[in-house]
Amino acid sequence: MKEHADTAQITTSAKVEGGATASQQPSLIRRFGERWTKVDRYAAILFFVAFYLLVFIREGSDFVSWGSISIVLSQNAYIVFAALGVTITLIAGQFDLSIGSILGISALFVAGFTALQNFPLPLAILLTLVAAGVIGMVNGLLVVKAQVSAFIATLATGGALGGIAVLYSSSTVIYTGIPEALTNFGSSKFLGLSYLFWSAVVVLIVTWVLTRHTVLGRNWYAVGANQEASRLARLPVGRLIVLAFVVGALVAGAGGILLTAQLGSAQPQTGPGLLLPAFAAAFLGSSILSDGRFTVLGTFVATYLIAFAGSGLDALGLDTGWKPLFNAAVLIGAVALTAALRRRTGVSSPG
Amino acid sequence: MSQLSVSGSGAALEIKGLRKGFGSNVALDGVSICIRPGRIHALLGANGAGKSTLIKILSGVHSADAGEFTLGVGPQGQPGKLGFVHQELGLVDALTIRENLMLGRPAHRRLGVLVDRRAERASAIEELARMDLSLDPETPLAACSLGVKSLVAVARMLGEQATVLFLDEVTAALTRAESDWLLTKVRAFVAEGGAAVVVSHRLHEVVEHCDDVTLLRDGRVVFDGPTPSVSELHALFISDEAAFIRSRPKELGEPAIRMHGVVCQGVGPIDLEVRAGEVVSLVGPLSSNIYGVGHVIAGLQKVAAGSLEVVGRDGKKGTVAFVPEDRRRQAVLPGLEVRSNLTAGGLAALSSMGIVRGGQEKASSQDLVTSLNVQPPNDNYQILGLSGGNQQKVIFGRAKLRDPDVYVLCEPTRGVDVATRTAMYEFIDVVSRDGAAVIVLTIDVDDALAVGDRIGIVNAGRIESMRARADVTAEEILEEAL
Repeated sequence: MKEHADTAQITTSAKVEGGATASQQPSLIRRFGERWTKVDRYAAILFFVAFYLLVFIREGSDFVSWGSISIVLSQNAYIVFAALGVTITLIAGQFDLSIGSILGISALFVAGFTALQNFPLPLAILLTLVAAGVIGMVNGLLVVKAQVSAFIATLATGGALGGIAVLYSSSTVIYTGIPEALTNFGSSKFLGLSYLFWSAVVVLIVTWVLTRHTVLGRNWYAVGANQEASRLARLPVGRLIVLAFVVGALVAGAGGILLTAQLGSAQPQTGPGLLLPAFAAAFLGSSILSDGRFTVLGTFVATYLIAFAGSGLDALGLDTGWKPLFNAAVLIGAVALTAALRRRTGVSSPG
Repeated sequence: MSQLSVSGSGAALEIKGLRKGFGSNVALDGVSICIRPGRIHALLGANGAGKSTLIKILSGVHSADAGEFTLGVGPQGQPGKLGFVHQELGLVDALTIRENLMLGRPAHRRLGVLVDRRAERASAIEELARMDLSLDPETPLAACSLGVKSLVAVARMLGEQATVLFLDEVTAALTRAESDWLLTKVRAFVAEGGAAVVVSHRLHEVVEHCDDVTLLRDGRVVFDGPTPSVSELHALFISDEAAFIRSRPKELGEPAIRMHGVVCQGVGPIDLEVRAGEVVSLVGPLSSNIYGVGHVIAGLQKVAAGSLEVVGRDGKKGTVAFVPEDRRRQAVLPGLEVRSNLTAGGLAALSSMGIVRGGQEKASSQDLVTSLNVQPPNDNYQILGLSGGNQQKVIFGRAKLRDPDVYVLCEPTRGVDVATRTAMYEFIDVVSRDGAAVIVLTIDVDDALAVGDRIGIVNAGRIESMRARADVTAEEILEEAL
């Protein structure tokens, strides 16, 4: 819009001067800009490293002990699932604001299906994943068929899921009757690290192959970059978007099952609080490992950068209320950074 | 032939020796033009001649490498001001005419904060009256025809006290009656001492409405002076590229695409048969819905009636590749590298069981980069880091990836440099000799003549006449279509 029907006002005295100064200026600015954005990119990581150092200096070796590191790695594994779910939809150019609620209701469903309905664990897991997939499909169809913007559609379904969670659980915490097989999974270790963390690694590898090496994932990137161009290149844009919501929801659903395994209980309020760390991780990841392109590896790394910072806040003895404030700052900082990185390549930023 | 004004003080806009390069491409090579008050000045040139670069420098989007431009004072002695109306008009459909006119202007205020609607309404009515529009300023813009919208866009610039008005291909999207109306209003504006620059592809418009003509070719002024006669203008306008006809005879195969009575919304009925190895150019003004015709031929629209059949070289159902008219909006995948841009939509053929074969993709992509001479020759490069011409080569590469039986190419040379334009012509020649049928859709007569074995004229979503290249001249096309 800016370029169109604008008015350039140049009075008689102001001239566009040519010659040496004009040809030198842009290149100087550009060189400075390139250097600056490079600094920017490492600034995010430097910020986290500096923060870790600060915590280490003040609180000593507890913060970097193997014990505390392995706790952070396993306790934040479910956030990796939420963040990867968000990343998949962001790659396809869509926002899924219901991802936290999908994870939350999946945690509740797997607990309830086993504890309340007495389904065998494999069936409960299958049904939970089917439910998550169906929710993702509803989101996708609302966006593609009903032409509701993803913001609105997923805001609504996320809110609706919160209500369903309360109704399904009668507002109570489910903690008895959850099979030991599930809770044992949550407490078992391999190579000194919990199964929870290894599950996050497995889902990272699966989504990495999916987004980088399959036709489906590569087409998601195309649709996310330019829907109209993808349509004219004969990609099935609608189907690709629906699938992104479904796969994102499935990943979040698996994260919910993992959360119940970790906690040994499930309650209806989980969910909305996950959105902030998930989106912060996706955007931080897009700015530290690539020029603003969403990648599952970036998201994985960023989730743990944020998680360790959270554990640092704990170590400093700060109230847990500081964590959302910190996450909010990371999200804003990362989006601003992504915007700066994308300006360099001339791509408009989705944030 | 560059004409320099003797007394600079009389000019409304004096452009002196503007130079601009993008990498190794020289877009403007020392352009000097004098725009005088009281006159409508036509700025002509084929795709890539430098018109849009010139306008972007004047509007501040680009800065010039060398040269300068100076604005004269307005008819009432006010400081000079450039007002641009581009083809997209820059208006907001969701707002009313009044709100559009007031966009970005210091608003009429009451008590400092409240919008003074009555004052805005009065000035809107006055500004519309200048355009002979007696519309209610509260009419939603979305309810107006394109012709009325373009008048509103001009009214807005005049309301902002522009002394030099630029119409950048605004008339291309209008019907002849609408553009005549618009240019009559522009004439009234210059009669009061303003100046206007009109960028247009339609020569009849230039002859009827413009006083001076500047013709750009390859970034240089090749003609500058009072509007010549129609035949002189025709002769000037047809560039050397139009002579780009291959003397080698071609072997034409069986029909690769057959359309009978195809009707879609705003298009058709279309009857068209293009044989393997043949290049058909379809040329028409924007208002003819020429690109809509392209989308239908490419099978991108649901056909309401009639039959569209594509036959491959093997006799089975053939494939169609499509290059859209608006590269930035409809073709480029921003933020992705050249390789992903090349293989978009074609990954299925480079994969097994849904997994992309990385080596195969890389090889195909490198092949295309090399054969199309994409600069820099690195398929890991970000697409937006490439020049317009190289981006266009990548988009052509995407079309070529699947070795289609039919190419449908909209505006193959829009926004590309001269060297790339020639490369695109050669691309079309080569793929047609390899047995593909090619259909080119363009508003650029040069393009149509340069590549077409047959030339069809499109009007109101239909192909009106179809003649062999040898039987048609640029003058005839310009007379008939544009």
